[in-house]
Amino acid sequence: MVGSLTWKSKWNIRLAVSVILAAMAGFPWVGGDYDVVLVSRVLCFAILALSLDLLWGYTGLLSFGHGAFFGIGAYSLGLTLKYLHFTGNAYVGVLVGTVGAVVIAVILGYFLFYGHVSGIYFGIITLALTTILFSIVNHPDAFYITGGQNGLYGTFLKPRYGIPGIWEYQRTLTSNLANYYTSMAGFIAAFVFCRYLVNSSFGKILRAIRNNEERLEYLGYNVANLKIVIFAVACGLAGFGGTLSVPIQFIGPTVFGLIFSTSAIIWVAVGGRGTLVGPAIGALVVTYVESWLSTQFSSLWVLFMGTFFILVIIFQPDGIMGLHRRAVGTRRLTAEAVNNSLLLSMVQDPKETGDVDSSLGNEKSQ
Amino acid sequence: MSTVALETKNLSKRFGGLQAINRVNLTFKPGELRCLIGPNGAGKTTLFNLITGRIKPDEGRILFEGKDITRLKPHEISRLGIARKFQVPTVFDDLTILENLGIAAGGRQSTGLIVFSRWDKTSVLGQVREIIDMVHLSARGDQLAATLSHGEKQWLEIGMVLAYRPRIMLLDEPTAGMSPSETMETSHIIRSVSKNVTTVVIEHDIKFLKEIAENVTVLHRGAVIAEGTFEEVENIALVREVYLGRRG
Repeated sequence: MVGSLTWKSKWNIRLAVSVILAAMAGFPWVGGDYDVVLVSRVLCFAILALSLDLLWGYTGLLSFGHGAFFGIGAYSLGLTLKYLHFTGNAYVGVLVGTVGAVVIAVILGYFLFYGHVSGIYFGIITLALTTILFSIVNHPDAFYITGGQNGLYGTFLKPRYGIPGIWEYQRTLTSNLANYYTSMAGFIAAFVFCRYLVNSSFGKILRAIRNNEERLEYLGYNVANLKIVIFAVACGLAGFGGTLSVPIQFIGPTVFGLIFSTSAIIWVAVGGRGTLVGPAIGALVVTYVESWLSTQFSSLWVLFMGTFFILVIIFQPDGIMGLHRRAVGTRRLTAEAVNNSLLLSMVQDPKETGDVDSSLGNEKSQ
Repeated sequence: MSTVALETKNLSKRFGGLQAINRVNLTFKPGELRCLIGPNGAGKTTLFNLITGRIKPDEGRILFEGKDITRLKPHEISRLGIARKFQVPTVFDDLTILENLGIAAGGRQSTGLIVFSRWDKTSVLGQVREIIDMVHLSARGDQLAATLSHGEKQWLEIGMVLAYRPRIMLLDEPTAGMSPSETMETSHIIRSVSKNVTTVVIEHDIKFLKEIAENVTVLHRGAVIAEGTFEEVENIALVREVYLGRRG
């Protein structure tokens, strides 16, 4: 807890944050073009990873289709730029992408959470959503609008940010600095937002949902409503990340594919669930390892990535942040890492993991 | 205020071939302290499950201060002011003791308030400080609940029920796993709080019952077989046979 930190460690944290911010800001002036482009993309992926972690790491809801909301964001901005040409249309597109993701999440969440869909079934239905969206954008009748397999590549004007009508700059495929700093600003905003959220009272309630949602109901909480709220927030954030990836990431049906959503899960798992820094580090490390492996082994790299992920799950279920935690010796989150191992959280129904006695009314005395 | 806090009318529940609760009529007066006793499988926890909406009865009704709550959802019933401690201590392991109590104290706010409220800026923390002293956990407020022993978790959960400020509290085996001195301490806590709150306790510990029981209801095979003070029910032959005799 921040409140219990000593004066010295508070300053250490401030120093560390300043160093990281300075490194992020200075990076494009030192890094090569290839790296700057890649990191600009990673910053957008990191927002997706952060938002998935709100659901999975903090609330215990594993979505297998979270990438779909990133895709909703990207397509929303792309289509807005394609069809609506006026000053400031990029901002409208970002808004449409974010709010659109929230609206779809609320509708889906209402049926899922009031229908008491949980555990693996929640994962399956979110996975189905990606398949539905994939079929829609890929449908021949939608080709004129969505471009099918070609995606929106080359069919929209590049987004203009800045102050509409006064000082604007454009993000293009080659405007590395503009792309990088826009992504960076978006990521920092998302990170600060998530930090506020998980440290708030609502953030504690999210962990309580993960621990034992039934206990929470008997304390008067409408857990279904709370889950809809966090699902909407996480999906809106994923949508925002998606809008930020335009135009540096190809807007095509692959964002609605299984591989993209699975990647997001891998980023969070490798970085460390239930932390905010973890998912960002996970997105960075995995994207880099992926890009390195794919240049070394043109076809075998997918196999290596899969093996890597399996090894992480088995030997390091709390990810890179778990290594760090063990080194520093903080106890705060290790208990949860031990309690819910990664694999268990993927397959178990929260109702079954609860400590509450069986509902069949069998009373055992001690 | 109604003269009856909680009432069950002809309550019945069947699990397959087992009649878990059989036409139970119970009345709890406001501020009453009542113990539910009975052998294993008598239906005590099932009765709590029915009252709190965890399971729905096949027949009969449950009235809280005259209002029919039989078909309400668990969180709706809780919001009326009925709080429950589970048989196995059930706390939030990944949260600190203070946070556990804070969540309990904030439970009756609406969803909107929960999303935007901050405990440190509300009266919740003050309320929580009072209760953490009562359950002897004030020195450990910032520790994770996972670090507590079984008995301490029992106290934390009792503290959570108190922090909720209920009208009725249902305590399922609050002293299970406690040492004799902890059991005595728990009975003092319950006694002192129950002056203002209707309290129903499921207990097996005879010492505890002698210490706190004003009124005792004995359940057997899902039906009420005796009611009265502990001394009264202790001397009923049937009660001795089905329950007390086995222990002695």
